[in-house]
Amino acid sequence: MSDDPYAILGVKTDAAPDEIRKTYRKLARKLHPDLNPGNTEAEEQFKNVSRAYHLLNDPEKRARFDRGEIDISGVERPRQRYYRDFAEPSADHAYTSDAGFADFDADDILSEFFGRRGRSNLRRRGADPRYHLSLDFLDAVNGATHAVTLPDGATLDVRIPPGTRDGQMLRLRGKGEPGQGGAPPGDALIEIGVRPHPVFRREGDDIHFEQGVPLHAAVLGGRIAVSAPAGPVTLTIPKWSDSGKVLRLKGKGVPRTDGTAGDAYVKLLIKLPDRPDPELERVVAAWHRRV
Amino acid sequence: MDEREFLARADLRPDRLQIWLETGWLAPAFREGAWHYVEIDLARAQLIQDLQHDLGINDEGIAVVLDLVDQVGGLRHVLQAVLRALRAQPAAIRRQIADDCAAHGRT
Repeated sequence: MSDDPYAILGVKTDAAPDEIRKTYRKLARKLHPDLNPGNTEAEEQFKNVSRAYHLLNDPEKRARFDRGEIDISGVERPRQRYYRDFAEPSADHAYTSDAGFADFDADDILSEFFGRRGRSNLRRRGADPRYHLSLDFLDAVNGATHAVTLPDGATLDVRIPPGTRDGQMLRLRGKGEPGQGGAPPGDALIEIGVRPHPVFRREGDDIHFEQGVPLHAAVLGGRIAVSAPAGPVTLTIPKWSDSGKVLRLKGKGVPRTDGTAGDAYVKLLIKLPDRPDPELERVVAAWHRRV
Repeated sequence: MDEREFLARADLRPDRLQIWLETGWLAPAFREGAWHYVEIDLARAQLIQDLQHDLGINDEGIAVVLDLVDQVGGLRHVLQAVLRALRAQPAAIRRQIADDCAAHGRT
């Protein structure tokens, strides 16, 4: 057998990497020992072809070979374990197939070789079906439990963890398709869609929203009750707060898995009383004449 | 071996393994809620990787190749067992069987 990797693969010394790979693939398809279980010559050839390819496929090794610094013996590949060496000596494994002679109903002589396992020896984990679940904004932020109806009519209680994001995939272990041959079932994958909220907007783990503030609180300061995603909280308005001012409610944003939470950012909008108030008008008019 | 050791020894990513388990390309034993891998699973993973990378066969092709490899393996296993049993027979019986086989081959 030649020691020249170019000759082994049958390519020119200036062959492009792509040509080398194509040539190798063609040879490997013909010579792979698991595809030629009875042919020891193919195994020897495959070993050589594979060594030649792994030398030439590595630009650095190829350059060193071209300069005469290394020869092909320097690229022994560790391996080889071939599947046939494990599969053939025994029929007592999961991959045994009697499909090649299942129609030879010759006194059950042959089937005795495989009899212990039976024909249906396929062990296969169940598939992971995907579902879509559309959630209200607050259910996604605060967590909830939702019943999902599966295509076969069964319902599944899905626990939505607090802080669930739009597009997030929930994996329900073991709730997918059943497995075959004693293998475990697959998982149900539930893709979450979150509907927008008229007031709250989520950015990462923070919540942003606008809040009307009565004129007196904006001018004099005060405490007002606001609705945060998790419920009512008290917001302290500093004296002289203009519309557009943003206040932070620490820890009132989206819950995180580690027990902490993002923040809520409240943008103030000064709100006049619902009906015109003559007294307020007089006060403002007096103030206006002064400035 | 457990899944972690199998992934390391097969040089395989967990998501690839998951797909192979779902398609049935790999069928390790499943006991007490966990997969248990043996040497034949490792050799089969190596074959699948050879088919994908070295031989450039696509997923549909791999399913066909694995099926045929297992059929040929089953046939070779049975043929070897039959020949072994034949070799243990007295010379006269072996001759008789060889003649019968030859006669079948001609019809």
